[in-house]
Amino acid sequence: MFSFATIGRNILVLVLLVIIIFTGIINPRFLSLQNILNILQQISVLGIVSIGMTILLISGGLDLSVGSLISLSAYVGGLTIVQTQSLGLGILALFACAVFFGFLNGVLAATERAHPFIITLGTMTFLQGVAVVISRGSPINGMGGLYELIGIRDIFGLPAPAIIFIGLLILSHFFLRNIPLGRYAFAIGGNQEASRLSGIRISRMKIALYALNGLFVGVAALVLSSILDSALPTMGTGYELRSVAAAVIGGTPLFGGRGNVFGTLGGVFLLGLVSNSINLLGISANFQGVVLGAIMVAAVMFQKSQ
Amino acid sequence: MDENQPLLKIINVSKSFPGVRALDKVNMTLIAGEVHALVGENGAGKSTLVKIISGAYTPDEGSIDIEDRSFRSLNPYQARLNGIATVYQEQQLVPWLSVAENIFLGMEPRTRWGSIDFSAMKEEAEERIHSYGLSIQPTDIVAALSVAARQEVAILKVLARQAKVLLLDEPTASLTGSQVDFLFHLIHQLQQQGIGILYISHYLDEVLEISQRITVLRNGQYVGTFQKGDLTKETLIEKMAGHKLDFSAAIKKPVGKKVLELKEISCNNVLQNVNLSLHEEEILGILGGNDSGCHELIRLLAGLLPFSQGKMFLKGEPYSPTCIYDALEKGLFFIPENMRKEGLILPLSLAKNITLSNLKEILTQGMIHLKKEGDQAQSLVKALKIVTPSVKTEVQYLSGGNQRKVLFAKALFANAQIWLLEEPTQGVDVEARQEIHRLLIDIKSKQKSILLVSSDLEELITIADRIIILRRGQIVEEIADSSSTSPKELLQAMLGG
Repeated sequence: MFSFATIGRNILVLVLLVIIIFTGIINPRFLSLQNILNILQQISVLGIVSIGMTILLISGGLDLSVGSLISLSAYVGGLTIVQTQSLGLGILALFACAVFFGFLNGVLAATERAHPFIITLGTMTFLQGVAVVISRGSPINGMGGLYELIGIRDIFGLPAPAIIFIGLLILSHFFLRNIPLGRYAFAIGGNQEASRLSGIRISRMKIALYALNGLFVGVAALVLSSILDSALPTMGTGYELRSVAAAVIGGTPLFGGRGNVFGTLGGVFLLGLVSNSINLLGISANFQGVVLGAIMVAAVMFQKSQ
Repeated sequence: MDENQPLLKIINVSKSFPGVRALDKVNMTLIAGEVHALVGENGAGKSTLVKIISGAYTPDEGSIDIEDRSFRSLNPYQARLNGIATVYQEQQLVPWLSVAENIFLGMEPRTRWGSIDFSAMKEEAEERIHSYGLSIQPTDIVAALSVAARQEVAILKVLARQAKVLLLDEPTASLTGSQVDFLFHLIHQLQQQGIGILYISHYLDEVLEISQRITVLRNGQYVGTFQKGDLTKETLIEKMAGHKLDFSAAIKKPVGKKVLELKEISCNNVLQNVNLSLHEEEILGILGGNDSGCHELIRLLAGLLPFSQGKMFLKGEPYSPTCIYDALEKGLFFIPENMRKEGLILPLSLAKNITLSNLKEILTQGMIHLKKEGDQAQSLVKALKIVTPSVKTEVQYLSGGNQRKVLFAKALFANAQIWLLEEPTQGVDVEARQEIHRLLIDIKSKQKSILLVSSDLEELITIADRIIILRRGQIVEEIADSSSTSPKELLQAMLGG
């Protein structure tokens, strides 16, 4: 069926093509295999965070603390590795931290005492503070083998982070389509009151969805710290807004009830390609913000307004 | 001023919504200095007419004459400019401003420097308040005033804007007896100034007290305009209800065994000592106005409201649901009146809406079997004759009648044994209404029970086996064989005539 949403998506594809062709002509290195793999690696962390965010947005939720939580859980993971010399325990600690605070966001959001925007703005500030306090501002260098495990690993010629991203993308698509919790995300975001009257336990489902988002944050923290082979207390800063932007550019509205993760893939690609082209075109990195911001605004303006 | 000068003339005005003819060639004239009441049952078209006069709706045909100017339609700005003012209870006031600031909002007196002249504003407001003998102070903050006082401020506000026609929509709904008297006193003063007042209310005693002429609407049709002296409450009710209805089509069957029983249920101040029982293969109609407690009663059964006293039994077992989930588990299914807000997930497809309350039916190993979902939804769409391009269509694109039927399909899919329905035919056209009625009779005949809260008399008489009338939280009458009732008797029982 004809709809503005499809135009929105087509415009996204068009913009992507223009960027690719334009940059490819000016700098042929842009289309080299090496650079494409590079881009895939670069977007994978944002991609993983954006999947979780997309699911939350579909359910009418939002989590602005994902950036801080990446920093904190990566740091907690790195610290555990350094202290115990055990990679397994480190990864466990990282996920425990990420899922716990995701869960906590869910519990707070389920009280409905305030909009999740405000609640997670608070937890974002809080978690960032905790990360800075326990690290005293200094990074952990060396993640005890994580670098070799994921950071520089290639699987079938593709960077491991990209494989993880694509794998999660397919899984989450399946989750939204075939798993009851995924279906309930659409229902709650579409009409919370009607969902409640349909017998869906809203609070439990919300908590589960936020905890699931924590899981995605955990994977993103793991991948990011293994790529960098270090854990910085501020390394997640900015992911909260870019993940929302990627989801919205990809056609997931902020008011819930709609959305899909493949659209988000397009949004993530757009943001990644723009950064990469700016680099390769020799434009000062200072312009990145200007261009990215303009594209975000333009993309949402073309979307269906309801 | 000429006493009989018409301020407002409604000439052959009609308005249709998709599938519903809300107003059909309605005529009405409002004369300067008269109080003209507009009465009719729910859905008779009162609010549609008010919205046309205030400019919120555009009529399909007919014209609106204001004094000597004729309009095909009005927009809210034109209506105001021509002296038509609607007084709602509070929406128009800014709560954190004073009475004087509210009265002169947007037209404040200025000093010669261009700033607001507060002392002049206060004086002028005081003068106006005094001239009507009101007891509010110009410096009072609106948020701190009573409902009655706020209404007075709202009236002063529209008068300051040179209103000639005042639309009062249920102005006494939340007033006490003495406040009503005071409002009537104010209305008399306005009358003497030559202001025309269109008074909409379902309190017939008040209507007969305050108005000079009464226009009656029924199902969007213009029944007539009557002088107050020619009417009694009896004859007015008769005109509102009509009497040429044929109910022979309904088949009433003897009822089955008792499935649900309420014993002396009370709920705060809304329900008092309610006793009732619902049987298998029975449609129990519950009639009552908005303040009767019937909406609370149905929500209590659905587990959405707690009850403070009394006992409920479901098939002989004690039943006290603490949330809607309990009710659903036990086979009670609630379909609320406001289906777009509380019933449907508009951006989801038909199939997904239908299966939402009973997803486990289509799970295989914890996963939703999409083909099974589509097939089952398809068979329900067929059984209920839902008109839709496909089961994948988003429900927001369906008509009101079909959206209702989607909710029925959802209840069927959830294996509902006891259906709790609230105004199931509100906003649907005549044909869909009949179809829904046939469907409900069909559903109940399959060992189901239906509790039907409705303010539609004809609907209750047509399909309910028994009717219970609630007034102020109490059962005032039970009509065992509804087919022998007339709408007039029902309306009388409901309004306390």
